[in-house]
Amino acid sequence: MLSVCFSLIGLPLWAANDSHPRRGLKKALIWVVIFNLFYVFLLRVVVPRLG
Amino acid sequence: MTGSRAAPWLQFVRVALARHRRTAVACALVMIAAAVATRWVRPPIYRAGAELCVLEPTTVHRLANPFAAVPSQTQAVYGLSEELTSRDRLVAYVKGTGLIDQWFLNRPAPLKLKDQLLALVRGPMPEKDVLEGLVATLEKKLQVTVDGDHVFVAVEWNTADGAYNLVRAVVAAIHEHRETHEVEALEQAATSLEEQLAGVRAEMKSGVETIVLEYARARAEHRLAQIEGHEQQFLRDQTRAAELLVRSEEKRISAQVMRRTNAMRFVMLRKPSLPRVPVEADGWLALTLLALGAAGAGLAGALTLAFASGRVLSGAQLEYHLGVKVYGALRGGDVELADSARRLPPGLAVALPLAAVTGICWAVWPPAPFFTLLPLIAAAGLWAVWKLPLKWPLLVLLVLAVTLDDPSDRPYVHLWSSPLYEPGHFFFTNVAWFTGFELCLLALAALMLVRRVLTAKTRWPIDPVGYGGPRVLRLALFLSAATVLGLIVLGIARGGNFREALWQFRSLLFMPLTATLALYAFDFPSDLKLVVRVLAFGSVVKTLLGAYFMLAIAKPRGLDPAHTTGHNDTMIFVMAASVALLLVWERPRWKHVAVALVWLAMVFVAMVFNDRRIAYVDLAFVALVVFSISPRHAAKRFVIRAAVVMTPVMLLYGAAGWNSRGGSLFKPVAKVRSIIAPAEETEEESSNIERDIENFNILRSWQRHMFIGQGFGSAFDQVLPSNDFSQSNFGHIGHNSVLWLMWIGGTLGFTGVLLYLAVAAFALGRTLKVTTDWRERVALLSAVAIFVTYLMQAFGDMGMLSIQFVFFVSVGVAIVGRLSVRKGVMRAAAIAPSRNLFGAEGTAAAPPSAV
Repeated sequence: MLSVCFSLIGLPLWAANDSHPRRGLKKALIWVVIFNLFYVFLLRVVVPRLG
Repeated sequence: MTGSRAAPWLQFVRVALARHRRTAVACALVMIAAAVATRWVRPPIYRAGAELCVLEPTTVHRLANPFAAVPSQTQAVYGLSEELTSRDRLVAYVKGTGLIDQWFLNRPAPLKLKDQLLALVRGPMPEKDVLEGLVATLEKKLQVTVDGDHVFVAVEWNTADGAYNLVRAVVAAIHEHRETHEVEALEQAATSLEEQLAGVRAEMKSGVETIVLEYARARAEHRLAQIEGHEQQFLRDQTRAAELLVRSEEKRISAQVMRRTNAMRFVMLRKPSLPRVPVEADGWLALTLLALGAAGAGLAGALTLAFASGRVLSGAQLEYHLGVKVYGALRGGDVELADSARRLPPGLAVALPLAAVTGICWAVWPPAPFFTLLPLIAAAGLWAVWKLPLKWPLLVLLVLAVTLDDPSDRPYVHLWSSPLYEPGHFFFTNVAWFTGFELCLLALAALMLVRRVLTAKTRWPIDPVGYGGPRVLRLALFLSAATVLGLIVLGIARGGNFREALWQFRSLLFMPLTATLALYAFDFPSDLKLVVRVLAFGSVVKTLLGAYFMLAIAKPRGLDPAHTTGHNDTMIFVMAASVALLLVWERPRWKHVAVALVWLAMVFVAMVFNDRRIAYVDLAFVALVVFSISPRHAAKRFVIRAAVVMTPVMLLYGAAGWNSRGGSLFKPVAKVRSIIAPAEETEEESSNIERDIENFNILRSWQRHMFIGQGFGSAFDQVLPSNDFSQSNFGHIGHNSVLWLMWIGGTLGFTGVLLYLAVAAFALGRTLKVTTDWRERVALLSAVAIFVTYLMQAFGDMGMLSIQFVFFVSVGVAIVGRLSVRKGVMRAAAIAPSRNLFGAEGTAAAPPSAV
């Protein structure tokens, strides 16, 4: 739950602090996508190895 | 509407009636004629009923079978209503009462004529089709209701004999219910146990033979017999056989007791009797309704003609078209009146059929006033939707969403039907592929498209400034809809079932549509007050109904229901509490503190009655997010100081109450514990385990297609068996909607469907920085609260499948979208002037720094 809130609310709110609006929006969208892919990587690779 | 606003419209109505009095009289006469004609050809309706009380003779059970569990009272009527109205039963009633033979004789005259005409073309109707028709009619006309231990049966039929025989058939079926279900189940269980017993006995016999053989061999070979393993197995089999024998006998005895006591269980409170007279409306009520309908049809006819003629009759019309105040009355000459009377405007083509339909409705549904006036109300509603800004119908839908009961959400645990239950059937259950809400939203979306095409070039469009909020947000909403459509295609291509897919994707597909509508229709901050009033109204209605249910219905019966209103109403209470707290957070004044205290007290009562743990978690998360994104203003400083001072006290209180059982002092601690670490063997722990099993199953299913997902229409694998698999619609729906959507859409689909939330959060973050007005800040923080609550509910309890959440999130998106454009943070696609019914507003320009 925290991951979802962080990804969809927290990251865009953080990116909104960027001084340039267009760069901030790009940053928000890219980070959301990267975070979701990283989440899958964690589930697929890291969590099974932790047992 | 204030008096000064209503006066011009009243003047218009008066003049319209005066100008078109002959049309008004004609419409009233047509209504009455249609009513009388329909009444003449309509078949009579006979109503028959019965009432039974089902009492389980527990003493007999205890005496006859002391070691078996006594059937409970609820078990006796469990599933009775569904069983008695099942298709197989309906077919049995129709065949058993000989309705097929009497079918043609009892048909109303117009339908007989239709049958004869069809017979000329297709030949006589086959018996199978007659049966299907009768079953479909009976399905609508038969009602079996179970209230506690009382069973009510009611049938409405076009013959007295038919109604009476049908009720008798249903009562007979109630008596058979136990025989066909519980007794058969017990006997099957006993037979199964006896088969197991026979198997064990065969094994014992084989074991004995092996032992005897071993003894013979040992004697022949002069050695000791090796029978220890066989001996132990024989003893185990013996114990098992005794246990099976006892259990099978218990089942046989229970079945016998049930069969013998079946007749004792039913107390006939009201026997079925042959109805003597058909059902008719009360004479005075029917006449009053007829007069009301005729007056309404006349008025509607005069107004329709006045609008359709295109003539200016009153100052209100001029004000509407010119947008300026008109003083004094308008005067029309005789020539004008004669002209309008000679022409037959197209308005008559609407007015006369409307009057006829009103008359038919009076005759078809005489006892229900609502249905008599339904065509007139519907016509007025359609006219209003066409003429008024889109925000009004959208607000009406929002009011309905926050007040009506959702029948699929088990409101009041099905112990009570509130007055808002029946209308909820239309809005929350399938009408024609879609629910009433969804159909209304589709109609409003079509209207929005028409207006965008028709009013784009006009000087005075009906809806507010701008075309649908920021461009980026609209693109993200479009992406969401496109992703859902793509996942539907993908799911069906992978062998998914479209019917199941429909239940899975409908709310996700309607989210971008409704958000686009809200962005188009609302103009924030001017519409903020309206939305807050709707929320306040919804929370008050739900609180009052919940309190009434608990105090007047559940408590007197000694019941402690799991929830009151419904699961999805949690959002209403959480949002009401959030707005109350945000008022104080952004504008800490005594007036706001007083308002918040009153509102919070009311909502807190509703939350306690509704007993949803997730509501408290929602509030905690909202508080955390709002706290972290707010600047260090007075309220935040106060909260930080209070937290520092109170932390030791709260820790001590939590530690003292952690292991407390019962007692109201530590109830909040117990609630927190039930969420974080539920005690063993409690309902909460059992619920959490079931959710963990379901999440595990979804996770394992997701591993097949982690990036592009499974698509809609399939069920997740039941890797670990779950006790409440039926609650997830047998794997088609997950309680954890976030995980469920990841399985459906994979990471890419999940991101595509919900990316609009990220864009809205980004716009919100930037808008919040430049917003100083406390009302606008409260609105923006309320939008944060909506998004967080939506995600929490999605994570906790199927939040992505509820239409109420669709409305709330859409309003949140509209608040952020509109305010971000107004503050110059985001760029809108197009700018247009706007005007409401009584005046004009200015235009807004997109600033150069917007995204």
